[in-house]
Amino acid sequence: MTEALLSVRDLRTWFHTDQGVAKAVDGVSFDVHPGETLGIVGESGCGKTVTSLSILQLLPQPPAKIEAGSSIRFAGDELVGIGEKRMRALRGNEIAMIFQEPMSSLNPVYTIGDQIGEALRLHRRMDRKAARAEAIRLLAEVGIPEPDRRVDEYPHQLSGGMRQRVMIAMSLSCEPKLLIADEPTTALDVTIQAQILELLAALRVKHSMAVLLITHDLGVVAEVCDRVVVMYAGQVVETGTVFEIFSDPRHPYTRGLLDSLPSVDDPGQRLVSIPGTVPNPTGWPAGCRFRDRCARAGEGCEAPQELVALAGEGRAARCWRAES
Amino acid sequence: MSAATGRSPIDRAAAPLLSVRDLKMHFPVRKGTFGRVTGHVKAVDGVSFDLWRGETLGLVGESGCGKSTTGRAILRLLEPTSGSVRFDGQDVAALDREGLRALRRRMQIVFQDPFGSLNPRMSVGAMLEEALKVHGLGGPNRRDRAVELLERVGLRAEHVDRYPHEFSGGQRQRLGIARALSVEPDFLVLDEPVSALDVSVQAQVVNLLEDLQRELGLTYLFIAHDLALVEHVSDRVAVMYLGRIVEVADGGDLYRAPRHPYTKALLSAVPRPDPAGREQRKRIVLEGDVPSPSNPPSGCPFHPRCPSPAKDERCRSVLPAMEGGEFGHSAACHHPDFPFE
Repeated sequence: MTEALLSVRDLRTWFHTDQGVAKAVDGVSFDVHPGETLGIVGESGCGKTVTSLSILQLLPQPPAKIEAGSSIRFAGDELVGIGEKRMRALRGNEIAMIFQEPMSSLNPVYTIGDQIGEALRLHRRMDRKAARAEAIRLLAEVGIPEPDRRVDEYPHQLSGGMRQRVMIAMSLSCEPKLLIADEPTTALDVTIQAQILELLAALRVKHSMAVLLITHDLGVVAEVCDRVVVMYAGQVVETGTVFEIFSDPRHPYTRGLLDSLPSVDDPGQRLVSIPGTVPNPTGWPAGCRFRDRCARAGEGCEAPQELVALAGEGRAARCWRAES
Repeated sequence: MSAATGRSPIDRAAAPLLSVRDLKMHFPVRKGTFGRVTGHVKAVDGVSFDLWRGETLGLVGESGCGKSTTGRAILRLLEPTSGSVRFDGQDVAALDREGLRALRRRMQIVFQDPFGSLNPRMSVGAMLEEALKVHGLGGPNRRDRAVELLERVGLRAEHVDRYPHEFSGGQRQRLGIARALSVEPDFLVLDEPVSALDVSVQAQVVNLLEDLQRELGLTYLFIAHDLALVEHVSDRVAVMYLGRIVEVADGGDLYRAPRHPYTKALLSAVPRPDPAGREQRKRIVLEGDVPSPSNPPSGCPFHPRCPSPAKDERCRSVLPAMEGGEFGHSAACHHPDFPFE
């Protein structure tokens, strides 16, 4: 395999609050290779968003703190402790990000063209005129009709799907090597979601960028990802190719997530649910963090679980029974 | 489906419990100092359906299609512009305040947002007791009844003195269900009841709703945007687009053999949790966005986005009526069943 573009090792992002230390991300490791789409999937509170914000160092410190021993290497450079100035040169340039709610990521008092142009002028040293022309070209590329008119519009004049296209146009403006997409289609309707996913897939190939897709939606993961990282309670609980994860899940949590989905092809069956709720990050359960909700819990689960390597490259699960 | 969920079969020969005819809900658009009405948002524009006792009708569609407004207009939480709603033989529109209050004991709603629909300053017990008090139910043992309701929805007796913020999302949705059930209704409007919940918790709440339906003989109008989920819970499914129902069928039929091009596109757009088939899967990607309900397109409201090659002049000028097909599978399309991918 080629060398990783992004390499996260033992990332621990803790929040030091009055209520205690919330270990939102607690020892996460994974690689993103050039050109691939890696999905991080998990439910609310599992630490997937904090992981992505840690990579870009967009978390307020304090209360957040990337703990000693954590490492985030991007294209060979260590990002932890790199300093805001050098991080700024990377952010929006080499690494771009799009968020769930495009309306709150766009500035309501500037036109679309101004906002796309800002990145071009900052990172690519274009003048105003060139930036505007490039913004129009980018809007056309992400499938916005009448780009030369839209470029002078304000965010509120666009629909949700169009706003997300604008965010994608902005993120593409500096030809990033890595695009972090945090729930990019969660706020959109299913037909618009299909449009955006197709667009992202086409652009990924065209610009040969890697995509780190963060989502709670297993359907979206199955449609677009090459490899998958499943997170639970601040930890990685399973990794594998998208085919391995969906056809042969080895961690009981992954299995539970897949079983709890209603299937379009097989209705009428009672849904399998995972009992209980996600534990609180200020006090993860001792031993296996999934033990209280696991149907197979028993002897051997009191000990903290390590990732068990399984057959297949990069295949692992955090369960001592994963091999059976 | 009733076999798998263990429910008794639905008697469609009997009179329907709920009968909605040509329901319209238009909101005026006001402009200027004097609030001149400059137009109308036609959120619901002629919706008709029947719902039989013990049945679940799924109402699906994208945001802004009018599905939630339909639910609210049926309960008269909004005053419909026109059309009729009959519940168990009674004309809901004709009821006065007293009559409406009596009826609300029988029809209840569960909202999507369990965070926004519970009073943060009221303990769970007080909240449930209030509902009973308003309707003169429960007698001196209202607290016992509150505890019973909590246990009914899978919570514990000691939760009765807690406040909403002490509960997780799934538990709060259980509270919303307990509150709706407190007055022993026959009919529940479930407006996106699990959309705000995580998948694993979603399944818990869906199973609870199915158990309650079976045990209490409830009738559901299940409003949601998640097609797989709607198919799972519904006996029949109605698809809405721009304020109208465009297709209705038994759940299985709709998913196996959609007749309306919009339903076809909607189904093909759903991401499937099955990566093995993703290369072969043909997806109909619709162009553009849903038009504004204040100025819907002429003719068939779907025609500007319709991918069907059969689209013709009639689609642009004439509004298609709902035409019945086999087994009550009807669609509002001039060219239903036209094959395309």
